[in-house]
Amino acid sequence: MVGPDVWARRVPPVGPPPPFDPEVAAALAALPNKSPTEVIAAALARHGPLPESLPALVEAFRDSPGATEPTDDDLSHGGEYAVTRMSVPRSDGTGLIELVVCRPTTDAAMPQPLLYAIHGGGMISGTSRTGLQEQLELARPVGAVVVSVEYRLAPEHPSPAPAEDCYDGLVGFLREAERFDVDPHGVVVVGSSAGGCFAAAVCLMARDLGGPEIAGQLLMTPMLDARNSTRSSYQLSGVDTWDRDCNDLGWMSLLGPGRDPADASAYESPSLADNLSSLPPAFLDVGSAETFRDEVVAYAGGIWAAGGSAELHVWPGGFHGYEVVAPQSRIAQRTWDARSKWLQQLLQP
Amino acid sequence: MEELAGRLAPLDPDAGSALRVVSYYDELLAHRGGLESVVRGAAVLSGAPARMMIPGWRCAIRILPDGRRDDEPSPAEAGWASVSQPDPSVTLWIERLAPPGPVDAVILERALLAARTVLERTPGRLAISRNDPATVEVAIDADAPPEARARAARQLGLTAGQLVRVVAWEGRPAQLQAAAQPISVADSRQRVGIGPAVPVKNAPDSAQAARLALRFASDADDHRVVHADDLGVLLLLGETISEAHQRWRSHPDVLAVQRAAGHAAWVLPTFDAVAVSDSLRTAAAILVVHHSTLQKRVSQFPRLLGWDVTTPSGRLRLQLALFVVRLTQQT
Repeated sequence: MVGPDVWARRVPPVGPPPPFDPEVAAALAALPNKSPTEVIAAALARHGPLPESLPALVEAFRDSPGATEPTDDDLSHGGEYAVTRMSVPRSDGTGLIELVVCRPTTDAAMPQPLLYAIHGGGMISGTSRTGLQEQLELARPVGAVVVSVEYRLAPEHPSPAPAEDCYDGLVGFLREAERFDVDPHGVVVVGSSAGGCFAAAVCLMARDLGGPEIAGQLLMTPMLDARNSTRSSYQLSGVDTWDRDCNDLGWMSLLGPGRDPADASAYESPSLADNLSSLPPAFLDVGSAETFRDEVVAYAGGIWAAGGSAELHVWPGGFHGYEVVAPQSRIAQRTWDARSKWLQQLLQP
Repeated sequence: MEELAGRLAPLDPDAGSALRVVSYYDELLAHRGGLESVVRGAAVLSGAPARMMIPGWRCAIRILPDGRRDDEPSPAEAGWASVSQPDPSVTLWIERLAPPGPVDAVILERALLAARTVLERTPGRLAISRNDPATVEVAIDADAPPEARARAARQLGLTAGQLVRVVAWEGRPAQLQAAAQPISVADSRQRVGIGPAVPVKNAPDSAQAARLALRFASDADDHRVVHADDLGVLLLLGETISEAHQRWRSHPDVLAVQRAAGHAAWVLPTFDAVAVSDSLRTAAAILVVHHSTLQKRVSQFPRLLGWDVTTPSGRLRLQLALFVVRLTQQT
């Protein structure tokens, strides 16, 4: 690998990748679009290795076709949700953060819980609407308000901008929470993939900075470890839909090419946190056939070791995003059911 | 990821859709997907409920377009798009009026092909009940020709290289099953004898041992299920006794046990419990009687039997006499 030594690593011994679940493997084969791994492999072949090719790779990644994002109309679900936008100030006073607010229109007798959603997209793509339909599905049984944050993206806005936007967005919204009749004791931070990284970071920041009370963190196949050197990150190279080359691109975009990922802070890469105590109860899940497998398992282990509460699911044969690519599959049904049940149990009075 | 690769949705009839159906089922089979996954594919790709019936396998699956399983007994409508094949009879429906559109036609064709592949690679796993008594009878019959036994075993879903065992039941036909398969006798009130694991071709040996083990079983809770493997030399003893039971039956100890058993209803269960327990307290627990009641009964044993059962050698003597009674009665 060409590039600074800090991005070169020693490869741990691994066996062949675990097989994909039959149904999600079939769905992936039938999709017309290319996976991030395919897109980045093609872009690397064309533009050469990181870090020099970083801008070209980011562009190729953003340009590749994907699912369309939901409109306000889609999000309202025929009037079930009132969809509005609001802006809250960044803590450093440099501008505003936009939030999408989806509020159930049914009259609630009690203050409603809040699902604070942080979208995925590998640190470099996505909007506050990415994956928001799935968040609304999770929110429905618990009658929660869903707020999704439009954080600034790397590499144009490297760390700490994205994570700080996520944190400031939550603090800013809760300052106005009374307007929305949101229960301050029912705040759950939820994120998938890169959003899972920021969700975990928001919980660490809230703990350390005397921030808002957070009732739970729902980390769906989160991207947590900037070092990109776990066994699963090597084992699933070229196999998972988000493989180690994609992962290098995401982390290098966030941290900047000059930085050693091993020196990332806990707020940048929660796997590097020295202290995982006193965090809100966590739900973590990951597929057995994805890059993030080992870092997610290790993060849950760290929370338990620190005396915290965590529920961990490793779904056999899942690649990154299987539950979004093939929500109809048996394993995806079980995944969404487990997430929803955890949330219901967490928030039940 | 989610905004990049998109998600699997019902296919529109365009140039690429047939290829995508083919890719879907090729990949499903490469990853050894099962019948339910075959039907789920049809429902998801077509956007309509899909169902499959395989009467010979007692298999009926219905899947909704969102992937949820929803088996419902309503009969299939004659007008729906469907494909079927004979032997084994398999029918697949997409719950939309025929004639099928171009995409549905490809889906049905590929799904049927996939179902056939799944059936072929799971020989007899569901095809014939494992308890089909006539087939088991042939597979464990020492006098049947080896080819006939091998064929019967195959029909029961057992392959030549596999280890198998026989489970002999009191009052119902024996079972032949893979040695690795768990034996479901947990809630049995019947006596059960379990044969040793043997290669398929030696199934009759496992059957003989299982039948002998069954004779060593008693109605005491912990002794209702007997594994031939646990009997040690008693198994050989059992064979010997079965072959020359007249001689054994007339032994004075055996006659004494039989005579005593006729004395009162509690005698035989009490003998059984005492013979297999290492203390009177344990025996009392098996019998669900008070310790002092049992002590009273046991004090009568020297008179009934002619020997003391409270010593280890006396208990062994009682055990052996009980075994012979049981073996010779049932022979």
